[in-house]
Amino acid sequence: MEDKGANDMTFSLQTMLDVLPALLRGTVVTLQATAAGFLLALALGLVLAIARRGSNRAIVMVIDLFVTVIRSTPLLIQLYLLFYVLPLYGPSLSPLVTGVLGLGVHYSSYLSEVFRAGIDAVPKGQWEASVALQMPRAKTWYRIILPQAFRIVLPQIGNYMISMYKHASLLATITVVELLGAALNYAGETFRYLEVLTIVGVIYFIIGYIFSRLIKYIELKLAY
Amino acid sequence: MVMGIAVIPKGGHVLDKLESPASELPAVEFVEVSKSFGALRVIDNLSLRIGRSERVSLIGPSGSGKTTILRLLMTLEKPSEGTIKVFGGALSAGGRGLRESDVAPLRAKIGMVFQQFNLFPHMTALANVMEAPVQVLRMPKPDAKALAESLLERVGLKEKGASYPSELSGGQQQRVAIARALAMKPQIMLFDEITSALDPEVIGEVLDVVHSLAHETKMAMLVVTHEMGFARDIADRVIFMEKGRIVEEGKPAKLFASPDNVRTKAFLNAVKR
Repeated sequence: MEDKGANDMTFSLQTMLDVLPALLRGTVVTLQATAAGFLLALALGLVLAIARRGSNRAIVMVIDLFVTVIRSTPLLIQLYLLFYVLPLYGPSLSPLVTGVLGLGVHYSSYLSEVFRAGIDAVPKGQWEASVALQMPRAKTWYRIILPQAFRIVLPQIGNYMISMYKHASLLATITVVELLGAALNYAGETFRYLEVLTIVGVIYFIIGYIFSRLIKYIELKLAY
Repeated sequence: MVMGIAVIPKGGHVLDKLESPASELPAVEFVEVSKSFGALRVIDNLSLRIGRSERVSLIGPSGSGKTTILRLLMTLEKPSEGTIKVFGGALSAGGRGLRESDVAPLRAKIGMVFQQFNLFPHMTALANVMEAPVQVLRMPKPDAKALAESLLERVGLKEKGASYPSELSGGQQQRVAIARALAMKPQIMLFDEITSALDPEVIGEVLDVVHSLAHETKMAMLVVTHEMGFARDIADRVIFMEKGRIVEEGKPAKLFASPDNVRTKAFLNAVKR
């Protein structure tokens, strides 16, 4: 039997089956990175958006600078910095943790602006009614303003989530064996790029599609 | 109607004053209050007293400062000069900052109903009414629910508890807003043009609720309205304002029938048409 190597240009279903276990393990890593990264981005973005509304000018300037710098530079460079440079001066983190940190911080800069727009879109009368009902400031935020702001910006949050999920493939460049990384490893050894990348694309699409349906569902569920 | 003669005790804590038996302190007192927005002087050195359970209508042309008086009282605005007192305690003052811990118990005596209702759109009517008792007064949920249900019944919306604001008419929303304000048991109620955003056919149902409150409670009421019939019927005293000042005030029968001031006369003629 001839080795089905690089020169075999026929589409091999067997290759697809062979690579599938590795890809599914990679998919799990991608989902983990996306989930952790997005939670971090949501939390940090929210903190930035709220702090940005405070009256302390120094804090506002620092946040503006941070958001501008992070948004204006490529995620890939940020990941490289965290992966290659941060360990020289600070803690040495695992590749996955580094990737989650990079994704979370990068997307927090976008989400802070999204949250800011959502908070601004809540009518002033909601704040005033809260004062008239003696609601303390913190309760006004989490009982009245944020639930409404969140509904307003949910479609954008969904977009960024899907975007981050796809961006998680950049983690392959810092040695995280996520979905694309697993695929490239396998293809590099077998030169079966066609089969491997096809199946990777299909997996990305299926999960991305599920995400977008999920977001639509939440939007409908939260509509009032 | 008794107009409180202020006997202001020297020193002492806010609560001492409130609990003092000889509390003839007015519910509301404006002492030489001014409010400017930039160069625009909306309230101009205005002094005003409102007695406990007195009902006062504020009328006047747009921009005369009526609504600003309510917003100052609700602490939605801060006076540029002067002092605002509630039951003798300083609620807010131009220049100096007051401690929130001193102001909060005073503000807690005030409730407000807004022109745009300002219901919480993500909560049902019942949840709107329950929200402040549960979150602020820490009332147990079953108690708050019973309270909210009885208040909704009182404003004629017993069956609408499960409805969201978007499912209610303007008149219904405004009645929920009244119930929501009542849930905090205010002693001073502020009504800020509560029918201005309503379709004509539902104005009556909202005004009926306010009338019944006036009959059944002892709250002081401060009403800003463009409905002259309502201003006359609800009030013990009508105040006509212009350019941030009180031009004329008096019993509704007198002020509407034979105002002394030419500007009051001109305004009343203009709105009659």
